[in-house]
Amino acid sequence: MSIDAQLSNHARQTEKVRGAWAKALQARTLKSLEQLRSMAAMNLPSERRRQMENLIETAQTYSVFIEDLMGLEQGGSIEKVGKMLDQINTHCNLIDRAYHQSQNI
Amino acid sequence: MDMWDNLDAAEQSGELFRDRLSQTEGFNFTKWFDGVSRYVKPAVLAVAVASGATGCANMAQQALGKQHTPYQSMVAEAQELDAMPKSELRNIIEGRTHTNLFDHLERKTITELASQISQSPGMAVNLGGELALENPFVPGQLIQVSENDDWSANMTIAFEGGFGLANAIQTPFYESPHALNGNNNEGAVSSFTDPSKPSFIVLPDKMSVKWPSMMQDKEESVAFTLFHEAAHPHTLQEVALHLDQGDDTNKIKAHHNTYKILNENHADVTAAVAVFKEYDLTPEDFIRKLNDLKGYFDMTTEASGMNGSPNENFGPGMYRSQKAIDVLIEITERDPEFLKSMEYEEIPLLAFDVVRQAGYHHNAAELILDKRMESISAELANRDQSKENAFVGTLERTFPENKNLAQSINDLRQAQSDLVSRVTVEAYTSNLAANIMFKDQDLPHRSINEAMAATKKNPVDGFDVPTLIESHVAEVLKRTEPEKLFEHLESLQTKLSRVLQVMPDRETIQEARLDALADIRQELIELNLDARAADKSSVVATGSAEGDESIADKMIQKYGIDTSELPDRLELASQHSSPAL
Repeated sequence: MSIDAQLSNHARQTEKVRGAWAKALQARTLKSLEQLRSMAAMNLPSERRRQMENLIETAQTYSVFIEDLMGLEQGGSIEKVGKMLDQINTHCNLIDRAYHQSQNI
Repeated sequence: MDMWDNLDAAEQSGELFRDRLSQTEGFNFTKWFDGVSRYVKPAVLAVAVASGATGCANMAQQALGKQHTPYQSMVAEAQELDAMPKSELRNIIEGRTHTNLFDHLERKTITELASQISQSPGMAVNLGGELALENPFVPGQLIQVSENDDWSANMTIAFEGGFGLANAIQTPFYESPHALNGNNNEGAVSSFTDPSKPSFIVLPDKMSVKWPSMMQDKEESVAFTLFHEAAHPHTLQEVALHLDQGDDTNKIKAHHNTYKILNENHADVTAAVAVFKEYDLTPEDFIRKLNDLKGYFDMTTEASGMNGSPNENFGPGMYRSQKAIDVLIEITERDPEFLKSMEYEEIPLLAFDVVRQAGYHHNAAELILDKRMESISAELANRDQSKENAFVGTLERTFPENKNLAQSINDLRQAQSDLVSRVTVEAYTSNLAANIMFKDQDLPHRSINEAMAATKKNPVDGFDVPTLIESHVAEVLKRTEPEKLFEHLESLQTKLSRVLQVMPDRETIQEARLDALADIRQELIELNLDARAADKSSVVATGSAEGDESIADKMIQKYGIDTSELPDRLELASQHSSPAL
């Protein structure tokens, strides 16, 4: 394959991938929202209840942010918002770990 | 981190996110964020993303130009490793720890995963999510395994591995199994100084049998591939480190292509021996399969014009991959059980010598083994020392005032330091003997450096070993006449034998080491008992149903130190075996 062909092939694939990527992150975010709600339903100390509400709100914000990103029609690069996606992903990992820990208490 | 720590960290990262949104001046993100237009698509975001964006084609171009043929990526990696001071590289390797990032994933061993894949129709991979694969070559290391089109997993690779988005976007289009080493990925040089970065293996939708004689043994074939990939994250830095210590180094630097061949060969040899051991193949079956492995694509690199002495046969054209296989066959013919009897941890170390010495110097099994076996125990002693240093370091920080503990820690350090000196000097002496016996002029540079470094760090009473070695090596390097060279080696060998007589022997050192560890264990038990007695409502007293001994053992084991021999060493220990609760 010529470099040009590779590149345009790549461009197509990258476009496709961007959707898959955002969907996967969205799925993760929604999962973390579920996990947060399930933890919030536990018998928590009062100062932690506020934190849980806060985290639920943040997760909803993340979800909206990703939704918007998916809706963009411009072929813009997601690299620009890479760090923000990174933070969302970190959030999902942290909540996932906390959730598993809460199940083992 | 406990559950609350994780939640606190998530909350903090949420605040950072808000900050980032609100600090993006001129795009009115704050307003958007505040939910005024929460469910209306914000045009401003589109502008932010599109402006200054490189565009997809560009991104792909960058990716292709920068790193993304495996060969280019290897070249970049070799250059990056070359540029790194070797002492720094050694510190990284010694300080390597493993995160528990993949602890929440389902754990599998290589054989379990190989069995699962080989039994599915068409050898489809179908993992159904990420797995944590236990790396048999690095005890305690978990590698994330995923399929190439698993986007959730690819995201972890991009972010946790520090590979960046461009790399992860490439990942789904690799059709072969591959390993990504978070310790060393091009484009994320910073990860290099973070030894806790995780490693990943990415598999295609389905696996194929690439080793022909394994058609009938699909599980072995899949296991071979997995062992091959698991060998990569273990060894990239080690290979780089070793390359700088032999006389072939400069040639390799000039031909980065060889670095790739060497890496792939190394993973193949490691995997072949691991399959031999894991599936308990008969020697005949193993040799038959090895002969087939010669046709495997990584193994067909053959010299085009061999001439002159082995020392002239350097460079990519002179490297002979298949020699490594010949050596494995020879070892197995000499001693059918030898390779099987190695620990998984040792296999990559032997494999490295096999591919390097056989490939470049065309050395035979006898020479490689003679030089190798002592060095392996030296390397493992070094590794034990690092583990125990980490352990006692924590103890000193936690209990700075405890005199009993300080004494035992000193004893342990002394024993470790004696052991490392002893085994590295033994390894070097034995390597010298091999050089002399086989009239081999390929000096064991790595062994020399290790012996010097170890005896500098852990001095031997009454002998200045580093200076002794240094002056001899300097003398040797000046001479070109072989006879003079061997004369010098012999005289050095004699002197080192005398040094070894002065040093405590291995058994004595090992006794001292175990005694010190047992003392430390005992002190930990006492500390636990004291804490329990001092405060009946403390976590120690109420928080755990475990006995003081098993708590002490767990604390020690956490650092990868074997505690199985400790309890019998102190009579005291038995008096406390059933503490009053």
